[in-house]
Amino acid sequence: METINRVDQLLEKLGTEHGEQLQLNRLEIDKELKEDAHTYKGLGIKLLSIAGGLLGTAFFLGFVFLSVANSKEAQLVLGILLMGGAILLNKASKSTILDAACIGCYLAGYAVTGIAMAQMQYSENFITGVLLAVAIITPCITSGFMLNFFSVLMISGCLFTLINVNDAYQLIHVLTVVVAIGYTYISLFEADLIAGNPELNNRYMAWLNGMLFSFIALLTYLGVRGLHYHALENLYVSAIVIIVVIGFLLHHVVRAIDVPDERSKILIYIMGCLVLLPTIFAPAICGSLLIIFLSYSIGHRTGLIMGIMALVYFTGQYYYDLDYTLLVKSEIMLASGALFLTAWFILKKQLKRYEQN
Amino acid sequence: MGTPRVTRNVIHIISRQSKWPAKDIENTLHDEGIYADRAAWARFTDIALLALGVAFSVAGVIFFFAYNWHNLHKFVKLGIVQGLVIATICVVLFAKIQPVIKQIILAGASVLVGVLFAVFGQIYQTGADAYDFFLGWTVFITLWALFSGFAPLYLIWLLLVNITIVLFNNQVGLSWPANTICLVLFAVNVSAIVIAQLLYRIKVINELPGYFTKLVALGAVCCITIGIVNGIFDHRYTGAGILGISVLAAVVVYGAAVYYAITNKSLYFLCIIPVSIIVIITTWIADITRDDSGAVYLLVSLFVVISITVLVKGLITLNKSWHGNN
Repeated sequence: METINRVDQLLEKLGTEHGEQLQLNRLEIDKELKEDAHTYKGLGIKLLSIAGGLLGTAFFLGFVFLSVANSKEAQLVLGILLMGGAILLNKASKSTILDAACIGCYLAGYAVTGIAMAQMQYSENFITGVLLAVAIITPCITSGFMLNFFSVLMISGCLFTLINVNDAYQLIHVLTVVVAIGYTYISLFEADLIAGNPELNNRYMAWLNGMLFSFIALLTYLGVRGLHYHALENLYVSAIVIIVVIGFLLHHVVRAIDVPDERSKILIYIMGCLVLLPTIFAPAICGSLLIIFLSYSIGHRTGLIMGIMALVYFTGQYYYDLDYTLLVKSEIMLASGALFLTAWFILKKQLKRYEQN
Repeated sequence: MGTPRVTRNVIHIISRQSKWPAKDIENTLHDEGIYADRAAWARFTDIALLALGVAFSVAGVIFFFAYNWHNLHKFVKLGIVQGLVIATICVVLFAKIQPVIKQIILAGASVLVGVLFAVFGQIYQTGADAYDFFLGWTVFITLWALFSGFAPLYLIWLLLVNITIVLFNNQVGLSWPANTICLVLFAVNVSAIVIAQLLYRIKVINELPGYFTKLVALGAVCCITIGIVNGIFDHRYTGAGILGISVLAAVVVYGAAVYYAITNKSLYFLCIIPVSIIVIITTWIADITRDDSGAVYLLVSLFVVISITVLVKGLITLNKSWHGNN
């Protein structure tokens, strides 16, 4: 009830500030708020639907392999029907109830279509191109969370596949940079995006989460040596761009929170450089720092949790892959630890002052 | 802090249904505390620097001893770790710092106790991965964990207890089958939740964050699910005794948890328990049909999707009846 009062207060405030210009559709807002209050938006149900959808897909693929394995045409028709059905179902029902079925059909559709086309001897580029086209078209048709989320993942997945199929591994850097910048843009310019277009507004959270998970997947590829072997060189290319993006984010935050004096500003930039410079050969680590900073800045909990987990994992993996003796590794870690603790000790009082106001 | 604020979703809805200017939306996102303000960033930097400092230092110490430097005399090795443990504990006891910072340092000290036992094992060849290493570690941080009031430390402690049990089974030669050990771990973790809740109710511990109960419950549910699934596949060879007890334990504990969830209006248990049941039933279908035909896969696939859909529908309806206005 109190939340509703807060909404009323906010609407009243907006009304007095903007008057008629606001063109507030109170009836629709009340309707959506009522639906919103009734939907359980906890992560639990989303995870449940995703787990159900993925499990359903896996078993369904087992069925396809065993039952219609010898008919390529039947598989293709089945794949198209599944994808089409999922998109229509998602468009028709906004409720989260059918999410598991939608995800299951949608992903199984991709897999079955892809397999059928592969059996028909189409080239890998053509198949990936077709699936990419479907992933781009889907968000144009439906605004449902799950299909938009998985479409963003599919788009980055297809681009990644295209790069790998054509052995153009260095383009991975371009893809990483594009996803990093896209993710940062979506996060930082939320207000502009949701105010600009109601259709975009509807899809905003799905795209934000889709970009987040695409970025993490790419960072995993960059951060785990076993995944890219020697195919990928010059890891610093991605890292430098990500560091520049973090620099831009720092600048944005410093402006937004109105840091009072020049000294603090310079201190923030110097600290930023000190933390980021050692990550110049570890794009996965600076990438996870970007996720943490961005998510904390805009209050995106899923991003923050994923970012922290990614940071812990990628830092561990980085040290594991490092070709130094344990003694040298230990020295590097102790030195970093001492650096962080010294910084904490020096800044403690100043930070306390800011925390209190 | 006390007054509930407007959520991001509400702002999105209002923006969708009006011509609310972007600049104003951004200001509202700041005002409503959705975007981090200066105080939040200061707090973030404070905790992040300390946590990174402690984590890197402890990791550095672990790596240092893992290197097993032969030139270093054994007493120096033990002395360094013991010195660190004593120093950190002195900071916790005597320094005038925020409780949360003391708790982070205490968690670091607890990990150092593990390093101490590892170094001891390394020097005197007790076998660094033997169960007694984990048992010693668990026993010697029990009091700290209990009085720390710090949930991450409770979790570390409980993880150590679980590891000790598994290693005890493997190394001392009890050689219980997998489903027995799963049942034991289930009992241990469920007891941990019950004891923690009791201690919280009688105010021995002041704070018990929801994530502690949720994580431990998830662990317990995974244990019993794996145990039963394993039992379903293996019962023809190992007998159905343990499987029967596991199912009975699951029925009793799940029943109590569902009752607790409904009386406390909490959806979490109602999410994880049905998933466990769905996994068990899926395994059971696969086991009784025992054939690799496409029809079985189709049946299982439909069962999974339909049961999850029904579950989600049920949860949403329940949530509506709890929190809905009409």
